[in-house]
Parts: sequence; structure tokens; C-alpha cells
Amino acid sequence: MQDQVSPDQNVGAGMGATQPGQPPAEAGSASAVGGVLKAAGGETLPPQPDEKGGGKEQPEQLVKDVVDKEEVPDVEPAIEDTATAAALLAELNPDAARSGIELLAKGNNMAAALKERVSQLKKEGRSNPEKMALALDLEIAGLRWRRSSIEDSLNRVVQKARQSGKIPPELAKLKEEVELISEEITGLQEQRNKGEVKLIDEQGQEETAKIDLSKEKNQVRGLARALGVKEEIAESSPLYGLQDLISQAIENGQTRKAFIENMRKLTQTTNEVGEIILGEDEVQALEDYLNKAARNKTIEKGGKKVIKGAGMVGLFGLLMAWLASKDKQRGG
Amino acid sequence: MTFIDPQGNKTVGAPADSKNIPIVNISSPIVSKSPLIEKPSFPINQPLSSASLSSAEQFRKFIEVEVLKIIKDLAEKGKTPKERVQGIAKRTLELIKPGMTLEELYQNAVKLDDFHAELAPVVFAVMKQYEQKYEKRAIEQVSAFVRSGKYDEAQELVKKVLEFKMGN
Repeated sequence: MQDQVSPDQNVGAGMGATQPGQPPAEAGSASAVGGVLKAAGGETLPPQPDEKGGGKEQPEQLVKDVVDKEEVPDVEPAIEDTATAAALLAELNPDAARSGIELLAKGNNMAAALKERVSQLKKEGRSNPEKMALALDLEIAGLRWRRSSIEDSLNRVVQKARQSGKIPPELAKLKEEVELISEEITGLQEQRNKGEVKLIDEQGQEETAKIDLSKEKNQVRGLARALGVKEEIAESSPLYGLQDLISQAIENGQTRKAFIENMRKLTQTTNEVGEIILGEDEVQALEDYLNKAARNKTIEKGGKKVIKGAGMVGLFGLLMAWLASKDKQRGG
Repeated sequence: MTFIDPQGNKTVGAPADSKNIPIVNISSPIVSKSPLIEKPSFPINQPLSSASLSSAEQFRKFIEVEVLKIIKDLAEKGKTPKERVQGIAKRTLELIKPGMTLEELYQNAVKLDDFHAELAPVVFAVMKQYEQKYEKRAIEQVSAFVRSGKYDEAQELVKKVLEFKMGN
């Protein structure tokens, strides 16, 4: 995450891409990390010149830092960060407390936390193409978010590893997870395109529901775009783009103002099925959350740093508010 | 005997100041089919702390917010392993679900600390609420029964209150 990024640059920062504003590496994303990860079993890589020049750290120390297990970055934010941010949001909007607990129960893995909602939407979507499309798009977006999060972690370590010439073996597992997620995304995308959705029936048996989804728009992408995520990022990883935007909105007053304005517009905007996109109460709570989270920056190494889990908690809260708003309008 | 103090700490033996502290005996197993819980004789719709419990949904949210506050404190202190925090969150989701009635919520909320003593403050708040509400009504009802000579009914009600208190 960049410390100082202009609002225009924000959305791409940290997204599996190494530069702010760049889109994340595409499907499989092996391109982003694959080359380096060939050495993930602990092979030695050719050391790269120190870009900053004249680094004072000893090479032995760098190797130790990278190989040390603790240097393998967590894909998820620390549990205390998520808990702090979730409690902050829940204080402002008790409706959001459950989503915070759900995130914590899933070990901060938002894709896993979204599964329950996705399953529910799929059940309801058997006779409702719009809901089925939303379920699949949300599931795919959650998986892309997860993949982008892993890639982001990998890129950070890979950059550091280049300096030392060693990569911790644990990273191979992350690479494997990226590949598995990519396969899953491809499978789901196929289901979406063909309109043949795999479901689990009451008896736990797999069945395929045929439902025409060709006319259904990707509402997750639409939400990301409407809130200011750049087109290419909304396309490749809408939730990661949104999370990054929310994180930047907490860090940067101008971005926050723009984001809140975009949210407010959505309380007056209807989607293609005539629904108001976000409820006013939820938007107010999210606005308060962003403002409060901005004041809750922790002091770290002499500089202010936003609570790390605040972006993810804000995003999950936003998604839940968005889905709840839909339910409310449908009398659910 | 195990007791919960107002801060939610569980202690064994007599509490330090049993005159001022509302004491709840929690050493007995939870009675899940308490007649008091099954058929509350009054609507529980008064404020609890700052939260308004005008409905079961609001009460559920109150419990969830309280759980989250505890998880936050635990996580920030850094002494509770991530897996345990996850376990507390999972258990809460299992016990406290949207769509539950007030009775179900009360019934399940008192089980929150069965495996996670850290949640005792939430249980304490829930039970305190129930006690305050029920006892006040119960005393009024017992007085009314006694005044109208319905001693059996009065005795039955007192018995129910005691059963609930002993059971939780």
C-alpha cells in the first residue's frame, strides 16, 4: 500500500501489480510471480542490484529476514486489525456486527465469508436469473479478491527476495493456492457463460441448473465502477479495487470525500432492475466509519498508518449493506 | 460455586462484595428448557445499556456488538491465539442467528460462555437483563397472587424464578 498516492492513482495500488495504478496480473497471475517462484523450493536466485544503492543491511541479515518464517507475509490482515475495524463499524451500525463476526470466523478471508451469501443467492436464483448471475459474479469477484490479496503478498516478498537471492519455501503453497483459485474462477466463469450452474441439492448431490444468464449484467462490477474504481480494475478484480479505494479513502481526505459523494449518489440511483443501489442509513454508517477509521490511525515507526484491516472490513460492510438493501426492496 | 462479577469475570467461591454485586450462579448446567425461557410472560422491550431491544432482531444485534467488543479487546491484548478468536466468532454465529425469537436468543445466549469463558460478560449482561425484567414482573405478579389469595400460583411463580436462577 502506498503512503502517499493521489486519488487518481489509488485504485490500482497494491493489487498484485507492483506499481500504483497498474491493473493486477491476469488469470492465473503466474506472470506476476511465477518466474521468481520457480525457486520457491529454496533455490538460489541471481541477486539483483540494490535499486536504492548502497544498502546498509548485511546480505546475511537480508537472507535471514526473508527466509525467516515470520517474514512470509500474511495474506489476511492481522486478527486484531480486523477486530478493531469491525468493532468500530459495528458501533456505528449494529447491523454490521454480524458481518464482522463472520469475517473473523473465516480467519479474515472475505471470499470464504461471502460463500454463505452466495449459496443463499444460488438457492433463490434457481428461478431468478438476476439473482443467479449476482451469486456467480459475487463468487467470482470474491475469488479474484482472494487471488489479488495473495499476489500482493507474493509480490512484496518476491521483491525482497530478489535482493537476497532466497525465497522462503512456504511461498510455493501460496502459488499453489493462486493456481487453484484461478482454476475455480475459470470453472465459474464457464458456468456463467453457458448458463449451466452447478448446485448442491438438499441431499448434498450435485446438479446442474440450466438458466439463461446472457442478459444479466455483472452488478458487482457495476458497483465498483459506480464507486470510482477504474474500468480495467473493475473488470479484473472489482472487490480488490474497491478495498483499495476504501483504504485510500481512510488515509486520504480528498479520496474520502469523493468516495462518500459516490456512495451518496447511489442512494438516489436505481440499477437495471429499478432498485436503489444503497440505502441512506447504510451509507451514513459507512461515511461515519470512514471518518472514524481515519482518526484511528495507529502510530507506527514515527508515521501514521491506517488500521490494516479497515479497508477489508469497510468493503465487507459495504457489500453486506448493498445486499441488504436489495433484500429490503424485494421485501426479503 | 462459580460466580460472575459485574465485569463478567468468573470466580470460584464467594464474591468479595456479595451485598452490592448482583450474583449469578453459573456452576450448574444450563437448563435449556427452562419454563421461564419458553414462555416469558412479558415483552422484553426496554433499553439494555445503550442498545434498544425493541425486537428480537435488535436484541440479536446487541449480543453481536457485545461479542465483537470482547473479541476486539482480546485481539488487541494479543494474548489470545487467532484460532481461539476464530472459535469464539464461529460459536457466536452458531448460537445467535437471524430470525430467532427472543426466547431462542436468551436460551442460546447463556450458552455462549460454555466453551469460551471470555464471553462471560455478554452472558452476564443478557442474564442481568432477564433477571431485572423478569424479577420485577415476577414480584409484582407474586404480590398480586398473594393479595388475591392465589397462594399456589404465587408459590409456582417463585419456584420458576428460582429454577431459572439455579439453572443458569
